[in-house]
Amino acid sequence: MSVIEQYQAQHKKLLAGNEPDWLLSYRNASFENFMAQGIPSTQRETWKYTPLRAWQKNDFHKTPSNEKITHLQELQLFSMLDERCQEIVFIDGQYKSKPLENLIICDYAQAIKDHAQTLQMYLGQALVQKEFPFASLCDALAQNGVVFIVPDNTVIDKPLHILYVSTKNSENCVNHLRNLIIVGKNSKVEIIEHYVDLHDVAYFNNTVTEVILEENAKLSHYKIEQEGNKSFHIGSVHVKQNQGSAFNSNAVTLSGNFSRHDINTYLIGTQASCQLNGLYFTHNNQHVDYHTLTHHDVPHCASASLYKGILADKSTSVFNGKVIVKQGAQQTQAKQGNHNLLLSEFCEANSKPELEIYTDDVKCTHGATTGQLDKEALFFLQSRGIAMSKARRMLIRAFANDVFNQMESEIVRNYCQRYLEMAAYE
Amino acid sequence: MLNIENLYASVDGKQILKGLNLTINPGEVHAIMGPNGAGKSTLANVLAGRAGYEVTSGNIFYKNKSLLDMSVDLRAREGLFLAFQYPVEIPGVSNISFLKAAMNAKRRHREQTEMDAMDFLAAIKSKAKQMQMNEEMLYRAVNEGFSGGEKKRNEVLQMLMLEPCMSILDETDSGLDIDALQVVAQGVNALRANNRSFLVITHYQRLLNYIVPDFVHVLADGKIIKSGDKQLAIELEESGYVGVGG
Repeated sequence: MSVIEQYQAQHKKLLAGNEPDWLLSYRNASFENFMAQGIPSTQRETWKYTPLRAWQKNDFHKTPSNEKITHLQELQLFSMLDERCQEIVFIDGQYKSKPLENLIICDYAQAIKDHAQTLQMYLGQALVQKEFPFASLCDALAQNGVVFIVPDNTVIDKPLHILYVSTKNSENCVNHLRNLIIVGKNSKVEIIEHYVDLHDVAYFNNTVTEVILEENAKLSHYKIEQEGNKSFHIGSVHVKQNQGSAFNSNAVTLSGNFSRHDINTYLIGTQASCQLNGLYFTHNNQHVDYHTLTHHDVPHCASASLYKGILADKSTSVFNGKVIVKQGAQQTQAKQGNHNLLLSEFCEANSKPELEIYTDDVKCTHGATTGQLDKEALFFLQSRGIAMSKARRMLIRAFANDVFNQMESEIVRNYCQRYLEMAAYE
Repeated sequence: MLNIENLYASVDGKQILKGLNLTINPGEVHAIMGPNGAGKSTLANVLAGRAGYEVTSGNIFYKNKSLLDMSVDLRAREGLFLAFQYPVEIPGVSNISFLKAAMNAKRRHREQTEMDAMDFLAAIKSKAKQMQMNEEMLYRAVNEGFSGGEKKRNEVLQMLMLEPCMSILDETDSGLDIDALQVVAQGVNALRANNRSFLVITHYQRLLNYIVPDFVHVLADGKIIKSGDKQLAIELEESGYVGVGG
């Protein structure tokens, strides 16, 4: 059976299960949409630089076994190790933590049972599936993920750190992870999605995170990809922003093999704003593709994005940032920047900022640069006794600094900086 | 301290230094003067080890070791310091973290422990004051947005912190007004000691009123054509390089 036929069989099996009717019809619509789109080829503009040949060869359709994994001490490495964080853990797609007290945080499967009404109301609100075949596939098949419902007028001080761990049980398997975050009016929360790999096996994480920000809600969202050199990750974040809401998105790729990330934001209420930050540090034959799509549907909203890439070895990257300013969305402010630092002569950075403006009286800018480490600066540092490797690390860190400065969480910033320093050793 | 023997060096295939000899003993201050294109900056860059400056023959001994066999950073850790004619701006790296990295590199090299954070802060603040630098400049990116004079003061600040044995000042006076010149000279003079040496490269005699040299050399067409004491600099100022056969 082909991989698509496998998915089809899994979908049929789910439909025969005992999930509520509204969910089954949602799954059905999602799967139909996936089938209508198929696996995107590079003919499709949004997948032009990200061929799926290697992904297809792997035939990821199996679900991980539940074989018990011991010796998870390595997990310590990925902990924020900070008591200011609440940590929950998924291992090979399975939710392994206790539900947190006083907060509505649970596994997707659990939410289908316990919070059906909320789910029915919000699921798919921010996600326009026809553009995203893998998101459709995820919605058709996913049974795991985090559902986090923050009531109105609630400030949650402790960031929620969600570790999605892949182990050898995930070898040649797929994990569809479906997250739903609803932040109520005037509420504020910080969420860290952290994807890690313990055993360097080939697996596929197919993730969707859907976010609804009610009026004046504020979310700082972090998605840290720290996966192994055989991993495949295709994930998307879809955000619907009501009036006065603020979304601070931080997408960080520290390690991995193949990944595609989409961050879609719909500014549907006035005075809403989003800041999209990204940092990718790629090695070996790694390929990372970041697509951001920001919809300015109404007037008086602001969006800004700053993506920076550091590429080593034969790695390749794609940044495609698109801002669409709808007719009538006056007084829009949008800026975009993508800057890449090439550390070897074999790496390749593709950069495409796009603006589509259908109204007047807007302020939109974009810029992209690609360069190498400044030889004069390296000589200067060396001439003060600093060894070449350390000088390079200092300059790499300096390059990344303005992305780090945009991160609101000191905990995450420190974690990523530490890793970057380590990885910048040659 | 430094022994340059029959040095030939080229840049982009063009011969610049043509048999230069110079000996600098511990505690001595030497000045090199000369017209544009004589090879003054080439000499400074060869000593610091900048890429693109090729030594085609001759030797340089620093503390009786072959300088040309040492990497740029090793030379610095061994106590050689070049004050840049055009100090480099490094966005994103704060002055203070840069200096700390440099200090610790030197200390590790000498098998000393890293400097205590409080001690380091106290030292750098007092030296910044000595250079009449605003403390806020320590926290800004290295040389970014600094004026010409501020950059040069920052060079001498680094020198004061690193306490080099052999300092080379490459036209440190260029672009300085008289007040800044005095501050810079004061910083350099504070370091003068009988175990440290200086090589001051300059166009003008003016700087040498403040940093008084033991020896003055005239560099022309890639080699030293005349040497003398500080009086030579004054003569040069009066009669020009042509007057000494340059």
